Amino acid sequence: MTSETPSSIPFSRLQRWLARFPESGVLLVFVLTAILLAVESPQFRGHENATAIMTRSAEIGIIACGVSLLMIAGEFDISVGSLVVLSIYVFTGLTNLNCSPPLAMGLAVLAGAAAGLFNGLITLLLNIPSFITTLGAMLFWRGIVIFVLSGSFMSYHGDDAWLAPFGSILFSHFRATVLWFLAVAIVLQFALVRTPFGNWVLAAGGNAQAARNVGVPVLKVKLACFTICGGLAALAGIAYVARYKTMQVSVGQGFELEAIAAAVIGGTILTGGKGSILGTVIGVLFVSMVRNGLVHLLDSSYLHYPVTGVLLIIAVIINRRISALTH
Amino acid sequence: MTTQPPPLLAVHDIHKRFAAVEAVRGVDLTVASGQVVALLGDNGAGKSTLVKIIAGVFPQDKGLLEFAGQRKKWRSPRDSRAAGIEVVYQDLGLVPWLSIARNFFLGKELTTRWGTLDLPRMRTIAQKCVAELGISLDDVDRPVGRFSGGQQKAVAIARSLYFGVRLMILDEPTAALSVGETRTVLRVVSDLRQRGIAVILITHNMHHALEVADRFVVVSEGKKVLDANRDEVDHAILERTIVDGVGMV
Repeated sequence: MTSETPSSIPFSRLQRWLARFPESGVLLVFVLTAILLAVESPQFRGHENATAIMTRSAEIGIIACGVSLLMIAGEFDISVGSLVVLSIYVFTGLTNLNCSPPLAMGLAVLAGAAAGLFNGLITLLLNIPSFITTLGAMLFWRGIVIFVLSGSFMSYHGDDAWLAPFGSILFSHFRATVLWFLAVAIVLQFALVRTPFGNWVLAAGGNAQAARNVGVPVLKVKLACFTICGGLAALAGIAYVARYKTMQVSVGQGFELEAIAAAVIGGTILTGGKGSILGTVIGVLFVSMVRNGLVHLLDSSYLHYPVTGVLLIIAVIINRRISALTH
Repeated sequence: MTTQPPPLLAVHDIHKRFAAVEAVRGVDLTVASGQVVALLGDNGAGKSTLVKIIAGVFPQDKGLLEFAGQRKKWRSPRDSRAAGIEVVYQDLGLVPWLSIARNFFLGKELTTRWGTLDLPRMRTIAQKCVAELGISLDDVDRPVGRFSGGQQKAVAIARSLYFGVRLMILDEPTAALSVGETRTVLRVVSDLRQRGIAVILITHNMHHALEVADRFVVVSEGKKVLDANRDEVDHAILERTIVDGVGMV
């Protein structure tokens, strides 16, 4: 049978490549920025510096993977920074009460996941925008911890050996947290592109009504994403304990915005239905590298926010161009 | 009057009221397999309400619904879909950012024995099913939102066919399409008849209805005012009936 509709214009090789790896654009800018920083700053080139960037990326990255997954499902969680502090409070609090550290870790992650699930239930069952629900949760959880501790520190006094799975230095360079980050990113990226669940996440964010019409359990899918997002924020909290052991109750403030920025730089769109964990990983590394590079280059960390802001907008422009070119 | 094969769908004396408005007032309608019934009427005539009752979106207040010779009471669109009734809505019910292959199998994904998506098989089947409707798609991995309206309709229709649709309800399938694309969609509707699918075609465009439909049902103010075969109507009769709300039942 012959076609009566004109078929779309065939792709060039570059377009095919970009359609397959839409993250290429941001990856290219990332590599160019890295080269520029390495040329300009001798300190930036050092091994220790790479370790510092990777460690920070890993902690934010674990959070950003969950935030990105939830954004792809069409929802937001801006309470993740507060869930980090909730997790640290639960973990350090329980170990200080002589609870065994692995059990305390499990309970802390569970607390984060439960708080995430609760965000989802309020959002979806009461039909409240997730931005509002999680803004409330952000104030609530941090406020509760500050209230209970009267604003003082949280310290881990348990056996340090239990923190080794996160805090130990591998190959004399990288903290084990980096492996956790990689594992989380690989599992979520695989789930997103290779499993029916991933297809449902993309559909729930892309057109929830259409997804419902064909039998996708949109409510359950979104609740699962809220839960995963909360659990991962709590996991990042444990990584923080492994690195610092003593923390202020302000720890994690601003993480939510950095995680969302990383996800958006990596190509996740705010309206849901599109994005990738791989892109988010690149976004996280980019943000952490620029933050670090600016300190070396200008001897100041104050420029970090404005530069990240500009990068965010440039990245969105690049991603949009790629999107227009490849569809 | 009309002589019809035994109907696949038969609704009798359907009533539906929304607060003060009686949207549907005692409508009878039958559709046989391999028959295209054009459902016509002005805005607010009750077409949508009637179709939503048939599709299980909401229940009728009164009246019977029979499908494949059995009395049915749908609790949700899921029930009607399971029985083989599909609605292709104007906004298509596709997820714009998802590829055609992923849209095609959304909710019923093909998996490998490891539980992962069997994307090669999903692509092959989606491409083949859409091609069977005479539509060529160069790349089923591209987001469906980037294809033309006619191609998207073809994807939605091909998906329903693959999953065993028996009655397809097409809601304004030619609205906002180019002339060429309209031709394609009307040809696909004829193709559905050849395959023995029952079709309810909701449209505002009488030319399109006259081109493909076997029967014409006009509703006005919630009542059926015309039910006639192709050889009993022309453009003038249909237009007069729709505008005046008076016809022959």
